[in-house]
Amino acid sequence: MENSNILVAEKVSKSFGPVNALSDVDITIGSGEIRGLIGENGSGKSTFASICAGIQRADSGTLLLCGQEYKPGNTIDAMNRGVSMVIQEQGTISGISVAANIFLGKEKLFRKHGILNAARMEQEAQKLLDFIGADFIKAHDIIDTLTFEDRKLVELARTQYCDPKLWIIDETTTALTVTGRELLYKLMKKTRDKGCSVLFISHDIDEIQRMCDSLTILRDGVVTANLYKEDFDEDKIKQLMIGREMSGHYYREDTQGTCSDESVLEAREVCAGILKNVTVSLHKGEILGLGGLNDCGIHELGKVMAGLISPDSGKVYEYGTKEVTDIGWAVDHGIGYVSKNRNTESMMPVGSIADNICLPSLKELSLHKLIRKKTQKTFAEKWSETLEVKSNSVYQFCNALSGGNKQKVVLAKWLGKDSSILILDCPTRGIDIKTKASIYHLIEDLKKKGKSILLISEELPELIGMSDRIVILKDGAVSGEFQRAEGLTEAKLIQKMI
Amino acid sequence: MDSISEERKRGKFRTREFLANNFSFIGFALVVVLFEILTQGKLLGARNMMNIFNDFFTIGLGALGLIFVMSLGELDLSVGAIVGFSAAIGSFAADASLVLILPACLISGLLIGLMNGLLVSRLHVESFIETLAMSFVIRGITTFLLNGTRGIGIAMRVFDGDIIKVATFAVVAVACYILYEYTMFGKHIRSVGSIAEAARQSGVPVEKTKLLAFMLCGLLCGIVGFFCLVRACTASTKTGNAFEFSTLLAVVFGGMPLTGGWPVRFRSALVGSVSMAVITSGMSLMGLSGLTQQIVQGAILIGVVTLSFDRRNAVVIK
Repeated sequence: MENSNILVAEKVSKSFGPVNALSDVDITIGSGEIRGLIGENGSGKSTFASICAGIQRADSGTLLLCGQEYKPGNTIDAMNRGVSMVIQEQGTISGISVAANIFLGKEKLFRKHGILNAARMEQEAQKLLDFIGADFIKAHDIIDTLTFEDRKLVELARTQYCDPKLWIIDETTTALTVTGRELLYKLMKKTRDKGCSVLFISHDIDEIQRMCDSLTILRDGVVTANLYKEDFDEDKIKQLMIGREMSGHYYREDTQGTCSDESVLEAREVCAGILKNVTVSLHKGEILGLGGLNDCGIHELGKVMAGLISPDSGKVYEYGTKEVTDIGWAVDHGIGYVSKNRNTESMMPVGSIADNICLPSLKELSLHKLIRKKTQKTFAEKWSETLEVKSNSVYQFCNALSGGNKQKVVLAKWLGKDSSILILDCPTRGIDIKTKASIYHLIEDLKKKGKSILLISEELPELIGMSDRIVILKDGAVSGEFQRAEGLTEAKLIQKMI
Repeated sequence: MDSISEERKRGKFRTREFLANNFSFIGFALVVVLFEILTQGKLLGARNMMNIFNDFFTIGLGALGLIFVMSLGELDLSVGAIVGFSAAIGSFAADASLVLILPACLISGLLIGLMNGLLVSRLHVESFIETLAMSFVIRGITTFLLNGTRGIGIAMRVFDGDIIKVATFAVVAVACYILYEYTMFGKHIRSVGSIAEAARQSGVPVEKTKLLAFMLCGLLCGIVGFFCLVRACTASTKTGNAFEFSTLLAVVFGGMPLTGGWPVRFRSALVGSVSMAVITSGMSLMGLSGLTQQIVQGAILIGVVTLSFDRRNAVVIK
C-alpha cells in the first residue's frame, strides 16, 4: 500500500519569526485522490501548499513523493518532480504573450542554436490551452488583452505542462468565471482519473464537499481532522475549522425588507465605460445588493457612486440634490468606499493599524490643526477593539495581519469616520467564515442604526441573505430588481444575469 | 532542547529588528569613531565643531525638504540646481535692494518647487526623470544669467553668523517636525507614499499633497541658496554643485527607505545630515581631494542602500 501514496508529509513545521504557521503537520495523499484543504485565514493552508511546491522550505519534517524523499529547492525543482501549483495571487507577467507566460522559465525547450523558436512555443502553448478546454484563448495574444479571469486560466495551463503527479490549487476558484470553474473542475477530475492527485484549497465549503474525496482541516497550523466523503457535513467542518460551535445565525434572519423612502445616494442615468444609462437609488437604512456576472459593471458602478470614476454622462446625487463630484467630497460627506482590492486600494499594508484607521478621520481628530499621538492611539484602539481586530498593538503593521483582520481594519476606518453611506465591494472576498459571519453581523447592525449600505457581491447566497433589495446588472445595464422575500432563489437571480 | 533553539531564534529576530531600527545611530557612531581615529583626534576638536556645523546646516536644511518628497516615494534631484538658481536670483535682487535678497531666494525656490510639483502630480511625469531634467534646465538658465560669477556687498556677510544660523536651523527643524508628525499634511504625505490609490480612496487629496511637498522642498532649498550666497558673497555657477547628492546620501544614511510611506522616520533627515557633515569634514581634515571625496561618498551610498533596503516591504505590489 505504501507505494500508492503520492505525497506523505510527516511532522512538517514552519515558523515566521515568532509565529508558528505550521506545527507537526502530517498529511498523506493517496493516488487518484482529490484532497481538500480548508481552514480559516492564517491557519497555514497556503504555507503548506507552498512548501510542497518548493516556494518555501519547511523548518523541519519530511516529505515523501511517491515513496522517495522530496525536498524541492524551488518551483522548477518541484515541477521536475511532478508537483505544480496554481497560486492564489495573480501570477502572470504583463507585456508578453500568452505562450511566453505559459513557458516562463522553460524557454530552453524551444531553443536552437541560441535562438528561440517562438512559433513552436506558441503551437505547444495552444495545445495546452486546448487540452484544458480553454481554446478560446489564443497563445499568440498579449496577456494584457485577456481579462483577469482568463489570465488565471493561462496559469492553469502553465501548471499542466509538467503533467503533474500532484497538482496544487490554492484558492483559485474565486478568481475564475463560471465557465472557468467548470474547466477547473473537469481538469481536476481528469487528473484524478489518471491516478494522480489534487490538493485543493478553498474557502467555499460547498465546493469542497462537491469536489473532494477527502478533506484535511487545519486550525492555527495544526491538523484538526481528516474526513472522508461519507463524513462530510457542513456544520461539522465549520466547527472543526473554528474550534467551537457556529451559531446558526449567519445571514439576516428576517425575511422582509425594510427601509425608509428617503433616497440617500442615487446614480441618475449614468453612462461610464461599460455602464449604460444606469439609474439606481439607495435608501436610508437599506442594504441594497448589487449583483451580476464579473464583467457586468457592478464594480464600476460602485466606483462611480463613490466619486472615484466621473461618469461620461449622468450624475450621482447624495440626498437627492447634492452632486457627488469626487472621492474627496464623498468622504467628507459621509460616503465610505471599500474596494474589492484590499491590498492595493482599500488599505495600506505597509502602515500601522492606527495609521489606517485614522486616515479618513484626521480632520475630526485634530485640535488647532494639530493631531496628538495619544488622540490617534485612543481612537484607533477604540475602533479596532469594537471590531475585534486580532493584533498585539495598534502600532502593528497591517501586512502581518490575515485577510480577515485586514478587512476589519478597513471597516473600522469607516465606522470611525461615522460614514452614513457605505459602499462595500465584495467585502467578504477571500475571508474565512468566522470573520465573514462577524462582517454580516456588523452590516446588519449598521442597518439598524440607520446607515445605508450598497453591497456589491458576486456571491449570490450573500446577496440573498443580506439585502433588502437586489439589483442585477447585465452588460452594464439594470436587468432586474428583486425585493427581499422568502422564496427568492439563486436561480431567479441567475436568469436575469445571463 | 526545542525551547533553547526557539529562544535563540527569537533572540536573533530581536537583534535584527534592533539593528534595523537603530541603523542611523549605529552608522553615525561608526562614522564618528572612524574619522576620530583617522584624523588623530582633530575631528572632535573645538575648532572643527563649527566646520561640522556649517556643513550640517546646509545639508540638514536640504534633507528636511527632501524627506517630505521622499516620504511620497518620489525623488527630488533638482535641489542642488534650485540652491544655485535662488542664489543667482538673490544676487540680482541685491542690485535693487539688499532687503530683497531673502524674499527673492525664497520665491525662486518656491516657484521651481511649484513647477516640479505640477509636472509630477498633474502630468504624472516620473519624479526621478522630471527633477533630473528640471535640474539641467535650471542649471542652464543659471549659467546663462550669471555668465560666470556675480558678487554682492560684503556687508551681507553678517547673515553668516553662528547665532543666526543656529536659530534658523532650530526654527525650521522644529516647524518641519511638527508639520511632519502632527499635522494632516504630514500624515497625508506618508499615506500617499504608502499607496496613493488607498490614500485617495480614504479622501486624501493626492495631487495637492504632492504639489505642496515639492513646494516645501523648493522653499527650503531657497533658504539654503540664501545662506550660500551670504557666506561666499558671490553667486557662481558652482553654487549648490552636487548638493542633491549630499542630501540624498544624508537621508539614506539616516535610514530613509527609498520606497517612502509609513516606515519613514523624521530623525533620519537629522541624524543622516550630522553623519554626512562628519564624513565631509573628516575627509577634508585628512586632506583628501574633492575627487577622492566623491568616490568615497558614492561608495558609501551604494553600501548603505544595499544594507538598508528593506526587501520585505519592497515586494508590496504597487
